Amino acid sequence: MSVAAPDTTTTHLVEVTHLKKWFPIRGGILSRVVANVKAVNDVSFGVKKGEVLGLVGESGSGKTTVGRTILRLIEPTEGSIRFDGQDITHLPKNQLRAYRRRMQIIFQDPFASLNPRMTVGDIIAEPLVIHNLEGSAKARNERVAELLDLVGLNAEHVRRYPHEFSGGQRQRIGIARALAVRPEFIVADEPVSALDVSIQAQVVNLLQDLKEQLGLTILFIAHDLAVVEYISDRVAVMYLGKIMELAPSRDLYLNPRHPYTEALLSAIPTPDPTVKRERIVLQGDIPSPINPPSGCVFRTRCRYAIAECATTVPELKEVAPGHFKACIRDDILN
Amino acid sequence: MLRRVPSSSSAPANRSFFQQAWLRFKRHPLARLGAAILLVFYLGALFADFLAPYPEEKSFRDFSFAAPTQIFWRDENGRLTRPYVCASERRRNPETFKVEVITDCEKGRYPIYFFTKGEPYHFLGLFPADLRLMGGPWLLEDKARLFLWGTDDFGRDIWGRIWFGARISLTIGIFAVALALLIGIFMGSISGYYAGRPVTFSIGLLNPRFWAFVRASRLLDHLLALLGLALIAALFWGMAQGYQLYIRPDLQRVSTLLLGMLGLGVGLVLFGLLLYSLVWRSHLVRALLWLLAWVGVAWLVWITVWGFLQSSRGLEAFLAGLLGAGLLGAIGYILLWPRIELDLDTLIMRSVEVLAAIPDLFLLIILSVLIPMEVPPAVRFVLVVTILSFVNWGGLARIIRSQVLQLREMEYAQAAQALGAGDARIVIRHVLPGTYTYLIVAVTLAIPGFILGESGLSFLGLGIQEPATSWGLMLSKAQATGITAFTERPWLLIPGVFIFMAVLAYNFMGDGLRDALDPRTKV
Amino acid sequence: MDDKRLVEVTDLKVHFFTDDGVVKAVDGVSFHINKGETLAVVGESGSGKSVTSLAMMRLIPSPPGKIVGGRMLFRGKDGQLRDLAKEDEATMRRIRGNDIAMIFQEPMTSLNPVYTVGDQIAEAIVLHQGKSKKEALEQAAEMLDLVGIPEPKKRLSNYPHQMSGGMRQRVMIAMALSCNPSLLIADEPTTALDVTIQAQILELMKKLQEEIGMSILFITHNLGVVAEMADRVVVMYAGRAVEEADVVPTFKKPLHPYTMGLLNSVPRLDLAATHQQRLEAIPGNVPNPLSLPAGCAFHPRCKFFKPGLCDTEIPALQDAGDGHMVRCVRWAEIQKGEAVSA
Repeated sequence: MSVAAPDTTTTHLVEVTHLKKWFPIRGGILSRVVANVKAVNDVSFGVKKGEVLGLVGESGSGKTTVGRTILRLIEPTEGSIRFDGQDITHLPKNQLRAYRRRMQIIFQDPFASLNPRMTVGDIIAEPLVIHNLEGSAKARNERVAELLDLVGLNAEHVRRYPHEFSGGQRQRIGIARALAVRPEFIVADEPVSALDVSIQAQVVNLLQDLKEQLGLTILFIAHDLAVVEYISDRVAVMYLGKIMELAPSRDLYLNPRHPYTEALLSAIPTPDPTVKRERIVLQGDIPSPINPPSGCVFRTRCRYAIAECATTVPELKEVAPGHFKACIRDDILN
Repeated sequence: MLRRVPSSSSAPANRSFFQQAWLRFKRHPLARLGAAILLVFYLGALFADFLAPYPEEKSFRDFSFAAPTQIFWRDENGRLTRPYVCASERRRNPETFKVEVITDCEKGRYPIYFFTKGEPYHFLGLFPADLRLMGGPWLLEDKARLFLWGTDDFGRDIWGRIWFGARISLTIGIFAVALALLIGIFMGSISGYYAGRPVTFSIGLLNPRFWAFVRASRLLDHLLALLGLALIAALFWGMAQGYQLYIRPDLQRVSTLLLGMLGLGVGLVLFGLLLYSLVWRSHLVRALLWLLAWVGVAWLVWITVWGFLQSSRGLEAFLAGLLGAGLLGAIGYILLWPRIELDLDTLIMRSVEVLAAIPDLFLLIILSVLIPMEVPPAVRFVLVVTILSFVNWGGLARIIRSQVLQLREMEYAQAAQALGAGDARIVIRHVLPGTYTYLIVAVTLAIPGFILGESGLSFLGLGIQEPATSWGLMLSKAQATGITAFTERPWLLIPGVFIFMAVLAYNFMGDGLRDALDPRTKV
Repeated sequence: MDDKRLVEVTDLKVHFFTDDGVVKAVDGVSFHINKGETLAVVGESGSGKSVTSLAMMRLIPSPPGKIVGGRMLFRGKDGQLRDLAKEDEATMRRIRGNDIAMIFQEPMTSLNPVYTVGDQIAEAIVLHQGKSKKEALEQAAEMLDLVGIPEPKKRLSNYPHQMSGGMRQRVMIAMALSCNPSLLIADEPTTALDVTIQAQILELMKKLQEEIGMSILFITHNLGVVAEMADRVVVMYAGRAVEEADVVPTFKKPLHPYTMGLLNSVPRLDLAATHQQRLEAIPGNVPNPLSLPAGCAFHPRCKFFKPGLCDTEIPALQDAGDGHMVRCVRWAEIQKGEAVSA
């Protein structure tokens, strides 16, 4: 298998090669491994310094697992993760701490990701305490106020508890906590999916502003292609633990080259009743990641599938400048 | 879906969690009743000296199993008057030929005064006082007796001893639950947090990972850790000297014992912190420490087997030698090669299950038999508490484990991990605080079990011993004379009523607390 | 009531009496549903859209909830006109499932895990149509076939956990339609599903509506789904309807500032080629239902807010022509471009 390392000319802040994460399912008296959930199954990509890479996929695509594995919140089964040139795949805990400061995560559920028994001030100050930043308590308080201001919250909120805030405000608190350690890289794991429509836009705008202001590199994970397309420079589309297509975001939307991307785009309802499009409705359900189809994992629902798709595992290859797809049929969608 | 009440969606709550819990608790009439009963009982235990007319151990040999003293409200002319008791004596009833306590008002009427001077006592064992609820000069001069609820076999006032007994019966549950909770939290949180994540306990010397492990820390760390070890050794030595010089001679005094225990606890925590902060950074020293531990175990095995071999022969010696050689070989193997991963969760939970499979009472009795008969009452109290909590920590550990399992998967726990927080910080700051509402309920519902456990032990004569008292011990007097207790001396059953009420009150309160504190009712 | 109309809700009020005070979840909502049409109710969390649908089924958890006012006229299959707000529980039980059916957001929890799918569908048929168990199971198989489940006879003996989320939602639809209801209430039926599965379910619902001709009350927060499914739209905010119109004017010529804001704040793939640099977000937060702002509940977030006008009185629902209703005192000014943004 050749290394599908997209675009090696520019510097990658994060680089993932042949990443695999299989969750074992144990059974029987001896709790032997009877099967594996192949959540991430050989994924390679890089995130350039200062860019926003979108990662879209439906449930079971493994997008969340990719994000958590990069941060080593989940230990990878195989493959390597490089951060700023250093291989952090097997770094022991004490050395990993230094990297924890440089990469952070924003969670999906603003209700579950904040400890309900801590005040907002304590929540945001926690990373400062853990990493022993800002020395004195006074300096810490100042930094917390500064962070609250940065994410558009009132500095007087420090003494309040998370339940006193609405979903959008809680998500801002989560962002402030992630930014406290001045990270370079942020995994935003479905940061707006749980929010009300009118609040989503606020948070998307905030993330965009922060990215500009602080020069952040972001891995933006979501199932909503519209939001991802909007905020990302490049987008990777995942299906059943594999990347199907990777391209600059506008290019991906205007010229989807993978049958799955094409169907995914067509499935999204447009908020315009006058537009009537011919829709590609994918048949059937997403197969189980325990026992994914052989060859191309999408072939069972693909309308272009041919016999060869069942035998050949397609590689992610460049079909146009910066545009990668994992499909053996070069004759379609060009 | 149907239960979604709109107010919880994004509403900033005006009341704190505990204010809401209090509102819900107040709506629970039985819980309020339970709480009120318990309040009365605990106040009674606190002011037992004041409530009781006699000191705890005062006995009237002539009046064993005396019925409750009759209290008169009307004088000889039938007019309502201050309540009084009459002179009484023990003699044979000429009609029934039974020995009875005969009351004769012609020989003297003694009015009961309230808030009066009685026999002096030390309130809470500290402040000298002599105020008692009921009595009079006649009581001090022993002209007449006041046994509100009769007497026991030694002729001791049951009303008073109920309150003295409450001091033990009602607090033993709390102390035992506190100890069981400590063990439960420790075991349960370790078990829950490490469930499915085996912990590496040792890596053999020949395993390449061992050297990688040792090299993973700096020279400075090693030096600091060695220094720390020396410091700790010096501290230990100093403490041992001090113990021998000052504490040992006074060991029989309970206060000294308690003080010693406190000191030991504080010392252990300090050592733990020192060990953690200094030694834990140097992998070399850690490796040395566990090597030392294994060598220690090997040495123990060696001297045991050697001693056994000296005094036995034949098949016995052969088997012992084989076992010893096997054990030593296993230790040697552990030292040299493998990587040992221990699933703490399995270890702890299986021990809980084994403990739970042994009948409680059986276990309690076995352990109680181990308590020497002649230990002072306070030590006995501590030992009974220890036994009760040792038998019962499993349930609490399970509750905590299930909570921790759930909470460690909460995103805020993962967020803390992503921020670089260590395991201890995640458990202490993010996981355990989430369990306390459940714990309050679990603890409230566990206390009656401990109260009953103590009653059972004391009833069998294995718990609290005379002259101290507890409700279970008092109740055991009722069975001394068999079934006749129910008909002829029903007042001996009063302690049983108190046990019943206390247990019921705790259960009511626990139910109310469960409804009030259940986080599912409102986040 | 007009013969064309199936449902006419007037001034519906549902309040929740909680420890913290009265939550006016629905406060004076009026709308109607014509026979065979799809009415979409759009709103964010706390807008009262789900409570409205539960009120029509009389499934408001009580306590703390209570329908405190309004009429809900409904023409049953028997042709009789009833006020659902006043019917007794026995009549409601006959109507539920038979005249009005409902599907929920969570296909995971709305099916009972301990019964087979066939049993659950057949139960409703036996209950409302008095058929034998055998006939009911046959009809259940037909229903499964209708909602596009392959091998329906085999699937009858499946348990819910043996099916995927999309399949379960199909079963829910089959169950809801098994008694041929005249109104189907769909409360966020696709929110928990993946986009490709959502597309399948939406196609299915459209197809079934054409075949069976029932009316649909579609509750959702997804504007894309609304554009696709609805004939008419009611936009709700903080317990009140703020705009009601046919689907095209709602999207093309919205009159209420909230509707405009909502439309502008959604990122749109179809405009990707030309999209602007920033989304136009509605500032502020969804208000606390315990203490709604005085006057128009949207005024603290509205860019056309005029002090003394918007924050004094609750604006009335006005007719802007062609049945386009709007609850804003300044809609005409805004439309003419005279209103100045604050």
